Amino acid sequence: MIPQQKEHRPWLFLAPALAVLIVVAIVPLVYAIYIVLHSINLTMPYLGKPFVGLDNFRLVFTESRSLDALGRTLFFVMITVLPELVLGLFLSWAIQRGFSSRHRAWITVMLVVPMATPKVVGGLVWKVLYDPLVGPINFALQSLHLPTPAWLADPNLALFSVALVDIWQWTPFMIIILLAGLETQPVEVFEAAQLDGAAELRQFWSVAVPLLRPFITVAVLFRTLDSMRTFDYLFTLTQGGPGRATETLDLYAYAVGISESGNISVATAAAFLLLIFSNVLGTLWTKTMKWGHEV
Amino acid sequence: MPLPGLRRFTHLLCAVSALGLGSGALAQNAKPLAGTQINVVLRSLPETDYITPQIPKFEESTGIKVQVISFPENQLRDKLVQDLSTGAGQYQVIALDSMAVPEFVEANWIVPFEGLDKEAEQKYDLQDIDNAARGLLSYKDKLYALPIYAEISHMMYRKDLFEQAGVKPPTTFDEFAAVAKQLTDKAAGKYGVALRGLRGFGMNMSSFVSFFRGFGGQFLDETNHPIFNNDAGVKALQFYSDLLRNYAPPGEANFSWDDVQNAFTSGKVAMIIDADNFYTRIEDPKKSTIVGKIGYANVPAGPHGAFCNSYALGFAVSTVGAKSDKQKQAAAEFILWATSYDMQLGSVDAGVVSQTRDKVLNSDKYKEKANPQWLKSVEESWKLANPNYFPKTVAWRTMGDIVSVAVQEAIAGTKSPKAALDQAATEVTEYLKQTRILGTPRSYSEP
Repeated sequence: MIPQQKEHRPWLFLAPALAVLIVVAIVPLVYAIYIVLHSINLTMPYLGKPFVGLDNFRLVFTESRSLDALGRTLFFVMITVLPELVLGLFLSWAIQRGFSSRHRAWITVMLVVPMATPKVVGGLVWKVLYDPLVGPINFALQSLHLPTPAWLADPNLALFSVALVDIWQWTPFMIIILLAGLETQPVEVFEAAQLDGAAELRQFWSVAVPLLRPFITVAVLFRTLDSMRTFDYLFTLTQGGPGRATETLDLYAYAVGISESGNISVATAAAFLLLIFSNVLGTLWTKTMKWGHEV
Repeated sequence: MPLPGLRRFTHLLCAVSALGLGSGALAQNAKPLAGTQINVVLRSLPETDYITPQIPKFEESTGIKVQVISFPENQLRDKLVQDLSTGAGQYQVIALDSMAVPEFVEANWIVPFEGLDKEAEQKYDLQDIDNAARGLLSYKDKLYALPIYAEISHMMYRKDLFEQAGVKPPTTFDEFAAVAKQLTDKAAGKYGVALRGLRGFGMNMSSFVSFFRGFGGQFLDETNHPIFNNDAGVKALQFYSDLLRNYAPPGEANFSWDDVQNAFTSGKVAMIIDADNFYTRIEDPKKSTIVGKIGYANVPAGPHGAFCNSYALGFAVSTVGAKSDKQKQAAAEFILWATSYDMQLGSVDAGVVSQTRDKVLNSDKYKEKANPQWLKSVEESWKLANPNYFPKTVAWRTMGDIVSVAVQEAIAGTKSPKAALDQAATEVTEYLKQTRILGTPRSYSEP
């Protein structure tokens, strides 16, 4: 016979954690749902807070500005995460093959440096580097008699310039995760492959990469979710400009909710949209990669 | 919109004035506000940096305890809106942009400064504050904040380059474009002009509206329908974007005032139009390669006249933060002290140039420090200033931001001026409809 009070005990231990969770996650979520179902403009309290149902979502889904921003967000994820993955795979392979384990430790330390830089600081430094008039990049290009583009002011180029900053800062993240993955791989399989006559590239592609699958899954998942809300670089480098050429969904939400008009309801709808999309993308990705069903 | 508490507040100001404003001569037992705590929000500027270290003197003479909270320019507004709209009310005195005044008034967050009695008015000398600066901080003919800082735009040009080329400072738009063309040599990295291109209601709009108004552009009609995309508006944007696409440095579409300043001090640009307070940096040998080579003149005029951008930062009492009568009195007293003649005159020593009091501008101390050509240009520019340069409406921030995107798109070449402004007009109409402003009478007069 189990005494009654024993059943309460788990709840007692869970209570502090649950209380924190309710305060930091559940309450804001419920409030966000309230905001998104009403029309609230921070700077125009005299308009009241009328209930509008799903009208804020309708606005976000029908305005060309927000739809463009959504498309741009997904495009930005593609042009950052894909190059980071490719670079990460090749560089981690090269580092693992080319250096002794002692040297690898040093390289890992150096790789952390860009990641340790706050995104805002990284953005501000790159803003100077990209400066078309006095920046070092164009200075170097000019001395080589190459064209000197306006990196951040050219609407066709600006988003790619921002993506480059993301790639600079976060390729090391890929390398470190994948390098850790490579370290766990048994030497025997590579020796066997070598005996079977597999060249270096073949060993990489047919042995190392498939074995890295769980690591790739995690690294890409992290980077995708992070890249979907790259507010810092865009805010410091372009503020969504020129025009709206680099306005992603989170910048749109910031503009509508805070900097431009104070309509936090539409902004919250955009934020929910971002949440839904990150969930869908994350789930699709882990399903595709059969995460949790490892060999 | 009725403003409850207004009458009461003006009475309080009278009460404050009866005490003798900010006077250190108060007797020890005449410190009725002793122990009252007020929090003051500032935007960090040389003008406000001068005030902060003086505060202990104010605290000593009044017994009021002052806590200063400082925010950078781009955060000030957001922090204020967060505090005021949520009812948090942590700040009793707030520094706010002249452009934010209509919005804050309609939201009932600030109340007017009026009803000072004779003695107080004489002591504070409200009339000494430049008319244009007061106009900037007024809405529907009522003054809501007292200025700490004000700036006006004028033209800054390279005297040496003008002499070499044998040209005179341009006085009309056509001359301006012609000189810009003549002084541009892209192969040699020399450009005729730099102006703000970066989007933002206080960024590229500050520069663009000079041209917009000069061509006769207007933002809203009498019933608040957007008309900025009419012929005059399109012509202005065509002129502005052509000018910058042809005669300005690369990356112009992203130029903030900071970039304009750097381009000028690096010696690569012959003319800029921007704020008068650039003076302290462009004439500083440590930060500038063109010290002593700079001439100053008024902005060039278009077919409808010359229009300068003007801006003021003012102190106002927060109705959300100043809850008790004592806090309201203490807040008002602090503002009158911080913007007084004595304080402004003292700040001249600290190198502050953006003064708002005529008596300070005309003081010997000030004249000694300032370049005479600069001073003349600034004085004349203030006479040209129009408080309705930017539309005095609650819709300005959003409308200005939307139009600023169109301006940037035209400079970057993404869209034609007409297409960009038409798109902006559609978006502004939608916004005005949502906020129930469309169709209501306009709250200001277009210049």
